[in-house]
Amino acid sequence: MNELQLSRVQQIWLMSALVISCAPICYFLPFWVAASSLGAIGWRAYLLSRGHAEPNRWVMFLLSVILGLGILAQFSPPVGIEPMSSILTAAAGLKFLEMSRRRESQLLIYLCLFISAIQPIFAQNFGSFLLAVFSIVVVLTAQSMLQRDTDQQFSLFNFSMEPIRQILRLVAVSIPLTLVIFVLAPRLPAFSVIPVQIESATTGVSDFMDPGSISSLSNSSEVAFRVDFEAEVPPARELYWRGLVLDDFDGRAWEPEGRRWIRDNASIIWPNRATSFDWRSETERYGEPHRYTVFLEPTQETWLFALPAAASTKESIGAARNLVLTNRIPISQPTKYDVVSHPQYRHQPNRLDGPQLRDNLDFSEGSNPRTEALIAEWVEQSGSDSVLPNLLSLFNQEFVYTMEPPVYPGNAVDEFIFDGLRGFCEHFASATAAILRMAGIPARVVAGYQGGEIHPTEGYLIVHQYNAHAWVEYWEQGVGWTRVDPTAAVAPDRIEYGFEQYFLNDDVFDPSLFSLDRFRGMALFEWVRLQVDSLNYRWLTLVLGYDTSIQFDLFKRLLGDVTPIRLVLVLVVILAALLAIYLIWNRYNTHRKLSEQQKILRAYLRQLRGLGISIMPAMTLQDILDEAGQKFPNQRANLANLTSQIEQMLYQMRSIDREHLKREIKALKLG
Amino acid sequence: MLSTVDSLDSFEESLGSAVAEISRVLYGKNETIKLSLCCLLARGHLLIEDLPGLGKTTLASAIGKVTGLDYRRVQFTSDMLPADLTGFSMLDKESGKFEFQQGPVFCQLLLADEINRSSPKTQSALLEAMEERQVSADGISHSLPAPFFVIATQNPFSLAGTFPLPESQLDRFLMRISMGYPDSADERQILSGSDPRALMDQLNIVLDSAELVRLQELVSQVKTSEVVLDYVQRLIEGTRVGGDFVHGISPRGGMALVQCSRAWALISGRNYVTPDDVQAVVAPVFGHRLTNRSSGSQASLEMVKEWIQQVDVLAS
Repeated sequence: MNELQLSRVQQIWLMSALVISCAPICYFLPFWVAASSLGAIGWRAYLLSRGHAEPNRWVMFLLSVILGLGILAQFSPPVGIEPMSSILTAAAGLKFLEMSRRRESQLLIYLCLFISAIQPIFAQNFGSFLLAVFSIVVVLTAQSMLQRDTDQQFSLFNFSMEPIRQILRLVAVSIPLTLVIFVLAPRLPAFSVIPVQIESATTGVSDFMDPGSISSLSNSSEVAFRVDFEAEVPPARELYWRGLVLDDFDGRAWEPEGRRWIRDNASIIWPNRATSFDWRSETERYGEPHRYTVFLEPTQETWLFALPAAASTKESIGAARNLVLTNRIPISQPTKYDVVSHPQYRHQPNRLDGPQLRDNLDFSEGSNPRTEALIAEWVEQSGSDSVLPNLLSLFNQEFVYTMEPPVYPGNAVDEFIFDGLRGFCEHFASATAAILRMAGIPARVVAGYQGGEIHPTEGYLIVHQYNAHAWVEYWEQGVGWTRVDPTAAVAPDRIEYGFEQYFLNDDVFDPSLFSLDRFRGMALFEWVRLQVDSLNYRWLTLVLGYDTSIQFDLFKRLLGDVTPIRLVLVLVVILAALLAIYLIWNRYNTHRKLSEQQKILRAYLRQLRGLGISIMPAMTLQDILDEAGQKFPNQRANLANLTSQIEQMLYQMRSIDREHLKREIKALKLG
Repeated sequence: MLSTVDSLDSFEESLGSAVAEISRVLYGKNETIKLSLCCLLARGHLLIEDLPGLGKTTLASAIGKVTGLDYRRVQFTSDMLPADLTGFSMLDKESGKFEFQQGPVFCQLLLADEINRSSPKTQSALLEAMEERQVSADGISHSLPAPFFVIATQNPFSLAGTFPLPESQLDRFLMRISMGYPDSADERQILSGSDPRALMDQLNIVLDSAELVRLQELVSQVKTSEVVLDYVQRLIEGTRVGGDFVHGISPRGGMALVQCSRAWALISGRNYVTPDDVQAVVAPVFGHRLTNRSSGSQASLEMVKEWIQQVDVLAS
């Protein structure tokens, strides 16, 4: 024992609770916050093991000031989830360092519980959920250990599962109520309104495309989004998930017109809101639409991905004039949205207005002189209509699709077309759009994803980050915007069979080291990877996807009409049912725990009561025998025999033929 | 040495005849006689509380006669000193040394009549001897003979000039009983019969002290099942939480109850305890250890008997 009055076991539990609850969120916080917290814990552990007291209060003061200033410097302004979590994590470490009284450990437990509860704000997949539950179990166990006398030295040999089992029981008991609250309580869009800026978040699609400066494309196998189609999944060559349109070209790089164009432009149409400029008549949709639901992983951006000619009725989703969908606020949480897409459509078939025409023809004249000269030559020879077929056949014959292209530092398109001849989708898309513009054809680059992996058993589509893609749309009088994918001309299989198939046996494909994708091709790992994904998918659809509208539909299906009275009634009925289940279970449990002896005794007493003999609490078996013998004198001998057998069983602890006794009791008929 | 409880017949017989023998001089008091013997077997001491003339002394001397124990009687008075009881050191003229002269406490069965008449000092000397089973004089401990059994009496009604035993001292007595009046038939027999004092000399020894010691050893071997212990615990718990008594029963009180129940089972010819045994002894064991909350006095036997009616025996 030291001056903390916590035993070694309790200290270890407390430390584990701290580390386990803080670790998952540390991943999302600045490195030094995690390090300082861990350092504080380690320091204290060292002091405790040496029997030293906590550092003096000036040291603590200094440390607090330093950490506080660090957090202020890191986050400006210091508001939001990240600074708050950083403060909590740092504070937990410092508290452990300065803890000098036993009751302070309680404060630490509360801190740990709170930190465990924020974990789901940072990551929402099923694994994170399990991790949060695990850390809550550990923290609660630590709490229960603090209340116990644990004098024994910690060692793995006397490690007892009993406290953990107890906490697991408690957690298990809380599950039914949690489910009821989950299903019935009003769904707050809580997470989606908390702005979480996670710097480490990556996406395969960005709103700035400068292919010439990239020499190697990292291929993350992380999931970008999953899609649940109402009908069959369309063939891979049709799966062009449009995310954002890049139409501002500076000679090298592409970005959306005016960068914040989407957000600022008044032409975005929001459901249930008046719009000053309704461009919807510019689009003609026909044919059979695809109906599907997208479960998008956080991107920290507002753009949404959908098949072309998409429309969504979700309140927070707007449609831009270039037919991309956009969310009102950045996607910082897994988000679900329903889309209806018409694969057959015509967009702006008749005319482009002045600014549009101007923007989509701007190729930043003079920035790629060699290409400009070539295209001018082509146009002169066989007209502008031949430029695209010429270009695609050129790509097909002389260009190479590679993930490790050379850097094109100068006139990017020139160098790609004339010198390098190697590139990936962005190079081809960029060059194609630029060249079409040079030929006087309005064109733009579209960034998004192409293809996806169909889950073999669940049937939904998984779109990975390595499915990120860029392609081109050009405008034709009478037809409107048409998609052309130059990459398909270079590497048709990339589009037809998907990215992974294309690179499967290629050394270039090097998915992240820790991913299960590494083991692709090994049947077992493949199976595990798909099972994990389908677990995550179910979690997304069932838990995270359970929103107000689904809740309302559910109520409607169950109740017919949704009124407050009915809701309250349902709640009351369910709670009553839960209570009843608990009581029955409790009763069953006590009965199960009754010994065989007690059961026999109960049967005997029940039998006698049934025969009209009143049994007072203080009556012994002999008293009962007297009572019954008086009432039924002719049965006295029989009763005396039974009494003596039961007495022998209960008091003499003699083993008797219980089955025989049970039968005799059952056969007891008096009078 | 016979030490298994399974061969009880001979003991049952001798215990039975001891009760019968004593009842020759004490009519209609079989219950009281059995309780006294039970207390003796449980190696405890007995406190008899009643009016004079109800047969306390007769009971004590009859037990002495029947068991063949070395029996002494001391009348406690207010001027009695501890040395009058325990003995004192005296100069032996021939040897020139101090020699310890044993007092009346050096016996096997001591009747301490009207214990509350003596000063607390003397009372505590006796109680110490009861507890320690030895007497200390001039720094030398003198062991008392075994078995050592004290029957103390006190008159609970005329309290003028008495020193009532405090609770802690009362706790030293395993049981407290009262004699009570005989019923009319027994009364008639007493009135018509000959003088009990004359009969006393005719009593035979039916249970010698060696046999008594063996029986005392057997008591601890009487089986006490979990079910019975559950009942005992419910009784103990009831005294603590019910609000009927100022204090609950101490663990020592609980142990006393178990020990007496075992002795009672033995007297009843069984080698295992039943709740009937517990009920038979609970009032004498608990009565003087409980203070009635409403009256502020010690719980009477009747009150305890009444109280246990609310405690579940079978708890099913």
